[in-house]
Amino acid sequence: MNSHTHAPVRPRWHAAAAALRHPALKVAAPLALLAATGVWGAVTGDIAGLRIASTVLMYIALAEGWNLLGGYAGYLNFGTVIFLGIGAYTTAIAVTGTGVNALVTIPLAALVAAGVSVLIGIPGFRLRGDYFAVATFVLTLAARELANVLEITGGSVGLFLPPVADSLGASTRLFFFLFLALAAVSVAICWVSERTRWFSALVAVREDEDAAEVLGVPTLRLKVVALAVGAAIAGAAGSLYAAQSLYIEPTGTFDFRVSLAVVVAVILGGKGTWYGPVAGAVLTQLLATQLFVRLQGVWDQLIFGLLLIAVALLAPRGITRLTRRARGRRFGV
Amino acid sequence: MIGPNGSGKTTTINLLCGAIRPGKGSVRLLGREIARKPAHAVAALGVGRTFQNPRVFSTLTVLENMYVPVAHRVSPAAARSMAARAHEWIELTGLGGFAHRVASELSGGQRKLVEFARVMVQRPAVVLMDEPFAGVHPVVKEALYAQIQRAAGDLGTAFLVVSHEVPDLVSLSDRFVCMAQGEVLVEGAPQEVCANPSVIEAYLGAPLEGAA
Repeated sequence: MNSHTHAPVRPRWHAAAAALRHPALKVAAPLALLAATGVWGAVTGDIAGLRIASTVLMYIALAEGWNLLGGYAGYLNFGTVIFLGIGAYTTAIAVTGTGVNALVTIPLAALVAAGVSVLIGIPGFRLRGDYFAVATFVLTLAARELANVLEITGGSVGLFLPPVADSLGASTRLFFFLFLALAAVSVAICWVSERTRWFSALVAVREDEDAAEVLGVPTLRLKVVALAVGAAIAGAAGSLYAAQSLYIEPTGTFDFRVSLAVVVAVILGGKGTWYGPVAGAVLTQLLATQLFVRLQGVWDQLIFGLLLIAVALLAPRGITRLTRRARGRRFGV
Repeated sequence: MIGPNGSGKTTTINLLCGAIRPGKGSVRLLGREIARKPAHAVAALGVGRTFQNPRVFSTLTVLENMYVPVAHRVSPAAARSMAARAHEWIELTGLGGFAHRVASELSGGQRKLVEFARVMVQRPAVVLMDEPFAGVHPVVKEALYAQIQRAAGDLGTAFLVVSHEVPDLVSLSDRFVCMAQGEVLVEGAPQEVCANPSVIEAYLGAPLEGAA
């Protein structure tokens, strides 16, 4: 054993246990499961399998986006679906209004969602803790009502979009890969964030926001940026959702259960890490889908809830941190 | 800055660093009005502070703690010089072996040192220290005294220290301010302030040994 380490001498099996603690391994199992589903779907033309995999990938993207503010900076945000919905409506309105291909509107959807998040964030971040969480919930209801009454959103009737692919099979494959790309980008954003000084400042906000501010951290700007990056990811996801669904309406688009599922996925997987949301999103979504398919109705939700409680009791810091994470060097300076 | 508990010492520090805004009056730094600026802007102008109970970020490593005040500076040159200063102050405060330790594993005295190093990485013009020596082991206390004197001498940093270690402060300070009931009671040379009858009555209780 290295004489410079402070750890006591450990039995040999600890080396194996330490290897198992590597973050890459924690996401390997869920990702393998997901890849298997996707490959299976692509090979066999199993559209249902690919659709499930796409949904899981969408939740990975949403969960990683949520993680920036919710995980690192510690702000409980129940508003993910607001930005998803804004992205969906941006694409739907742009497509129906100008006739452009829906996929061209993805950057616009991300931008509009990020812009709205800044407008919400600047006054919204005057609220802290529980009040911020409540505000994001209330804003979700407001967004849905707004979509219901505005003319440009088609009111409660909603908006129809033309398909971007020739067949259902081609469309399903296309969107699987688009959601895969979005998920990869969002995981990369969190992975890179954890290796920057920005991360230190976000965690400082979570641990002691007043102290961080007095030390010179522009906390408001930092939180707005974290919210906006997450909102951009959600906006892009909403754009893909609209382009794939071909039809959106207020109640289904601004569905609060989406925000809730994102929060549950991150907390279950382990918030404040780049790999926790991946594991959480894969497990909760695959589990929820399986339960729904096999036990439709009340029982699937009940059992899902009980399983969540069990995980919360057994792994309060998330399933990826059942083993204590060894913190090592983070900066190469 | 000395004075009995509840005399307004911490409130004064909070006002000076922008943590609270004054209802009236002004706060000036090198002639510049700063009372209405947000705390992070005041910090950027060169006002650093430490807290009575050290407020280190416990899940971050010692080195990451050093990076918090400068995390938003994006220019690579600034980042490099800041990283160099972070390492320098970690060494100067004797925390060299702990740079990659998570702050929650440190002792109370070490956390005080982390706070001090963290504030010095910002290269502040003024450092406000709220009871930096309270509950600190004598060896750590001596280290802090030495580093404060070094920074004041070599870097020209001004220190405003709130402390009850009056005999030590007499030799460390250029000026004393004694507060009582939210107001400045007496200010001046350390020896004079300590010999002032109203300071003895309001705070010291008895004349300081060796004071004039």
